[in-house]
Amino acid sequence: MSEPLLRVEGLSVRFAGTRGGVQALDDVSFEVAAGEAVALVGESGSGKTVAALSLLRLLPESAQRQSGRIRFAGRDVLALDAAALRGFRGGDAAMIFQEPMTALNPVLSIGEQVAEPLVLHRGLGWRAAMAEARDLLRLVRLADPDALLPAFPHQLSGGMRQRVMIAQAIACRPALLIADEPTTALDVTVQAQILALLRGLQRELGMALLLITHDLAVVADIAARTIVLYAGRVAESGPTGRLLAAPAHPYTQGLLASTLELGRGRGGRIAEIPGMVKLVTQPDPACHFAERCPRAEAACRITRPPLLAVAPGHQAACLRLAAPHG
Amino acid sequence: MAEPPLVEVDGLVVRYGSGAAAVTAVDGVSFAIARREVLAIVGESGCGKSSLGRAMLRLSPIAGGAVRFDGTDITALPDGALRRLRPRMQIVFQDPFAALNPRRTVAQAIGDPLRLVLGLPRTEVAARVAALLAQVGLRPDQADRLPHEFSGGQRQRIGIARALALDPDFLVCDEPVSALDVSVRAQILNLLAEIREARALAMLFISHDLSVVEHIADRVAVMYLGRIVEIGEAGAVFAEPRHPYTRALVAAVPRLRPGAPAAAPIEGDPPSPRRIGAGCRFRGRCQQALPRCATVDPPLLAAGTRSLACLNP
Repeated sequence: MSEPLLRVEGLSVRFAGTRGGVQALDDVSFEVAAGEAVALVGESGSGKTVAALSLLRLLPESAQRQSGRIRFAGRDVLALDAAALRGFRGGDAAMIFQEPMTALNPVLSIGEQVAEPLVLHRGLGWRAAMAEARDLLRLVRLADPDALLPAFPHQLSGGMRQRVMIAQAIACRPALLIADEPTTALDVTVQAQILALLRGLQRELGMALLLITHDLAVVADIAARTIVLYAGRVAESGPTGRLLAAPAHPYTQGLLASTLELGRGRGGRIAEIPGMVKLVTQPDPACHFAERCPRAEAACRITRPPLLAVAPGHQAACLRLAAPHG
Repeated sequence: MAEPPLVEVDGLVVRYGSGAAAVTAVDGVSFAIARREVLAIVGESGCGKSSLGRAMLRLSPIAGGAVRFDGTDITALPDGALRRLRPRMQIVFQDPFAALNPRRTVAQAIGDPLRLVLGLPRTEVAARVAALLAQVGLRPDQADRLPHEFSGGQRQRIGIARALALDPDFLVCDEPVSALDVSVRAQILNLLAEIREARALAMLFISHDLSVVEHIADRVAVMYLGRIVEIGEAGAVFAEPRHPYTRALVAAVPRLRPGAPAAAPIEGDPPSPRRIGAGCRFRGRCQQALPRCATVDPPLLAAGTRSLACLNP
């Protein structure tokens, strides 16, 4: 098999803090192939955003990367010098964020913000960059790009701002777009529009997409593969359809069971995952999910479960995989 | 003869500001909530659902219409009389951290209404706080902690315990689970269902999440730009939405099954309540608008158990 576009190997990140710090990522590995759409799913504290930020080396100073390698198109991302890193960010891999209002610059026009990466990364003049920015706004299905170029972010709705951020991110045709909860702050009808746009762009441009989300329901239509993170570790990964239809890890099973779906009907008790996500302060030799797991046994509290194959391309980190449910 | 409703809203108008700068967030909304009934309000940002919920407790400026609680019109009620009625109607907010005073312990947050409103003695307050904590699934030894020591789900449990302290008949829940993780959301929804059963509460449940509403509500009202466009039994409305906007909302809900036919999402954004023109408010995004939709403001008309505000459903 040829080398994937992105390969993360054994990434561990911790934040120092007063109460023992936080082990945000603990030996996380995953891959994204060129042109592939992959979802990274997890709840608060799963480490999904830290993983995404690590890829672009955007982690704050307080983060200590303890180990791990990130390879992108054959290059060692962690070894890039400042100039190479600038070219990598935005040029090879770009990122969009949950809240487009805080991610866009309030005092620069939409045109300047979308054109800027073209000037910086591709050396275009401002006039040519502005012309291309107009095309980009059209590409993200914004009506009337000419009127939008001189507008400012506060004059746009949340959905329009998210489209502008996408236009800016794809300006230099990155091979990978990282989308961190891109629809969480949006209304449901606008969320549907943005998801459709991302799906369309990913296919049209042959771009790889890493979608970071807490919502399993949004991955179904968009990601070919899904990686579930729990408390800083990969709990399960596999083809999205299989993972949703036949989840192997008790956490994924619990998450799916507690997810409400329209058409389920009224009332009844929703399956709960008891307790809350463990705050991991030190790498520990145990399954992080053990204390909430209905199938945990003594071994789960003293052994870190390795990722085991469940089916081709489908892996789960659980010692009780073969054990009967219940 | 049917029992009279616990809460009745009649032509309610909520307006912020005045003159040209005025924003009418709720524009002539009417419905009733029976005792023990859960009515959900769904809609997108700016539709007026939170303004409506707050107005029902007189927490947002009422510019017209009436809110009757157990037969009493609260819109013009003098402060003293309103204060006597307030224990019976309480609210749970979306962000429990913002809704709790960071310097008051859990016992104080829950105990304050018991002390200040009911004037209960210290020992009685402590006993009731302990009972409330147990009911919302918190341990008695957590009573002396501060809000920042709790997770989001636990904080929402504290917010619910405080709302229940005065034994209300009516609870407004304003997006109570929107800020919570999925696994925790299930815990809080189960808790709300238990409490509603145990205390025979009526609820106004405000949410943008249709699947949550279908789970918890008896009836649902769909709001768009300050108006109710469709109201009816929740399961029926979602199974067979009749207003074009409700249909668009239902179609936009992401499904867990991959390959589920994704309907083409409706275009445009929810418009701003600052710019409301003549005619139907949804017509700009509606695929089946008729010429007369631009001039005629459709009234909410009953058809069986469903009411609908659309000229061309």
